Amino acid sequence: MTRVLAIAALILSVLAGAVPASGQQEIAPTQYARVNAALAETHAVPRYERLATATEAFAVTSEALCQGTSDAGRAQARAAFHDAMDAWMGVQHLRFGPVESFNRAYRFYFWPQARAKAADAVAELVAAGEEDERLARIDRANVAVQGLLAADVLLHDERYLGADAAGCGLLSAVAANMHTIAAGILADWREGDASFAHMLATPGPDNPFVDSHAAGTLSFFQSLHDSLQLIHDVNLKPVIGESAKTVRPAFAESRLSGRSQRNIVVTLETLQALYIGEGSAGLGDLTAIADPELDRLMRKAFRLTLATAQSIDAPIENAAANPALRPPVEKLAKQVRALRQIVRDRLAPALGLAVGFNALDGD
Amino acid sequence: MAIDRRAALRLLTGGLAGSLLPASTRAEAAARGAPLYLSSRADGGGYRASGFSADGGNVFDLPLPGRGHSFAVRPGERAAVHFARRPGRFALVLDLVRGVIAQRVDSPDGRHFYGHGIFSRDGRLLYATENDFDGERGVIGVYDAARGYTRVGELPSHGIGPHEIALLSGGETLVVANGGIVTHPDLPRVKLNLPTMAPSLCFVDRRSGALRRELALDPALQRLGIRHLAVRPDDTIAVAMQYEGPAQDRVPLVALQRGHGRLRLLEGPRAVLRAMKNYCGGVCFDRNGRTIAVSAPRGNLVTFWDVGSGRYLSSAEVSDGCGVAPGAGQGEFLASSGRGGVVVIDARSGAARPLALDGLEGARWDNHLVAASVSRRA
Repeated sequence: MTRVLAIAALILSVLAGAVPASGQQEIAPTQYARVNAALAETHAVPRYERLATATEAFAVTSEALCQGTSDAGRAQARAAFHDAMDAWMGVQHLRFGPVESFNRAYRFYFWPQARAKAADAVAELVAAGEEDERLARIDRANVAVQGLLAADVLLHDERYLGADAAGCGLLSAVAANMHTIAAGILADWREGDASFAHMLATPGPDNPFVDSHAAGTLSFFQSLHDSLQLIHDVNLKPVIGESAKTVRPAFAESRLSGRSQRNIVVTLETLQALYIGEGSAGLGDLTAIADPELDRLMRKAFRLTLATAQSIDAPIENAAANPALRPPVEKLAKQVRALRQIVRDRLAPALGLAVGFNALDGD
Repeated sequence: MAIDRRAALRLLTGGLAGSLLPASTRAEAAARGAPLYLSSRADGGGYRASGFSADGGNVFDLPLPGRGHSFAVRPGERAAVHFARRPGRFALVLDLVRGVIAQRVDSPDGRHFYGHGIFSRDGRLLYATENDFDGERGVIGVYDAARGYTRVGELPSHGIGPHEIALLSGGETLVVANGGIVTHPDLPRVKLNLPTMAPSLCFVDRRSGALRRELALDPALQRLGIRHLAVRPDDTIAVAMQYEGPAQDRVPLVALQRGHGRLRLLEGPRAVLRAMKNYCGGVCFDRNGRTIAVSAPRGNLVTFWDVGSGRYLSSAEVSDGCGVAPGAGQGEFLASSGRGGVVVIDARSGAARPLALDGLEGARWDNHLVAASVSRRA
């Protein structure tokens, strides 16, 4: 078997040109390790801390709102909801590690999957009344009503949280559930000898999460790639259509709360932070070693793409339907697509990460 | 069947580099039953479907309208149908002797192909796995090759997300891998129901569509998608799976099924399962049916398993290796790489060699590799 491995590996590395091009440096395991540690410590953990704090505040304001609904209380709860959304947009790209356990990611935000289903699921549960046992065990309810999607509906659909406080029980249950999930993810990332941050720092054959430092970096790389793909394939392309006349607002994210553009901006800022680092190393530190020219290109591409997203002064679905506001939306879709292609076709090989097209998006 | 080395040499000498072989040579090879391998590949921004002989001679290399997936080989006709990758709508009828696209067939409104299909034994009816995406259910489209591939019927797949499909030896029962995942072409690559997905292996009467038998996994393995399968002439079925749960979970990825039995999950060494990264790309039997190859492209690994004992045998490192097909000898397999190249691996002796592909050097191969001429000497 060893012989098979050795021969096949040799053949394929020659066939595939897997050896870095001349002028490019190979990345050492210690360099991957340094970036992984920095990203865990200064990117992932602080962002999950923010999510835990924001969801706690949301749970408190939701509870307060239900003690006596008022315009001021509703405004406070909405503001806390936006903070929680921003915090989630800041970690949503991290699809590996503790967030994978117990369906946490889906329970927190089942989007775009429950796009058309959350409103009905909320209506059904509100109609069932405050005594319905599903409220007491919301963590076992339909994933569409467990998190941000349900909170968005409850806070922005006029049928709820009026004078009769309809939906208050569900809002409180959902907000508390979101905080439990966020606190659980944070604890699993940073607490104890078996914390995910520790696992990431100590790869090996007995480590269930990562077998090498490069594998850890690959997880962060995939977060970047898949998130860019999602922005283009889910948040932009199906919404904006071919022209201002073929926009499909029903596909827009956060349509009720009017934050489809903000979600994209926060996500792009997050991905840029993953790349350039947050006061410490980021993925770009590895690019700078392997291919400095590509690193400059990546930084510039992030700057331009983010500037385009920030220049759109309306929800994506509204801007796309308005011929005067549409051009930057189309430009953004093109830039995000191009950025993703650079990440896939140039960044992956430069970082020495094996991401084949069979493996990347399989079937 | 062993490769006739003289025929192989003739194939080589008859072909000019990078061009198609003369039709007479191809026809001769076809008449001799020399294996022909079919796959699709990425080419710049586009995609192509390619055929090459067992010695690497380029038989055809045709542009595709989009990304392709797998092939259904038409018995007795030297033709095959190449399906679009989901959520594609095209299927191309390839004339394997002339090396041309003979016809394009599109899935009807409201349906897209999943990328796999199988012909009836007489080569007349084509069964293709399809998505009734608004109905959120899997179907099997039935196309009549004798009537220009008119869609003449539709059977239920009795599950969601039907993927690879095969026919049992009696020629009357289809076996279909229902992966269990809901997808919709509006959001093509988004998996819509992972928390509730329910994969199954279903046996379906090819005439009535009746469900003859359904095999499911333990509820604890609800996220283990049954996606690819291969059938031996005695109806032993090999199944290759993809796990949609947390990456750190170690679950079985390969199963065998025989007769009235349940799915027998193969254990394998923990280190191998781990290296497979919870994701299998394809499965096939060798020529005598004693060994299966299961590819794990995310782990850059092709693994080999003994069918009789269910034991793991060995593995070979193939970068982004996904396509697997039987080679000429016992325990011999071809594996194609998404980073370029095809290797011939003997699962037992440990010998591996690259296949020199005439005119297709360095081609980056897509998911599946299919042998168009399969020996029945089992």
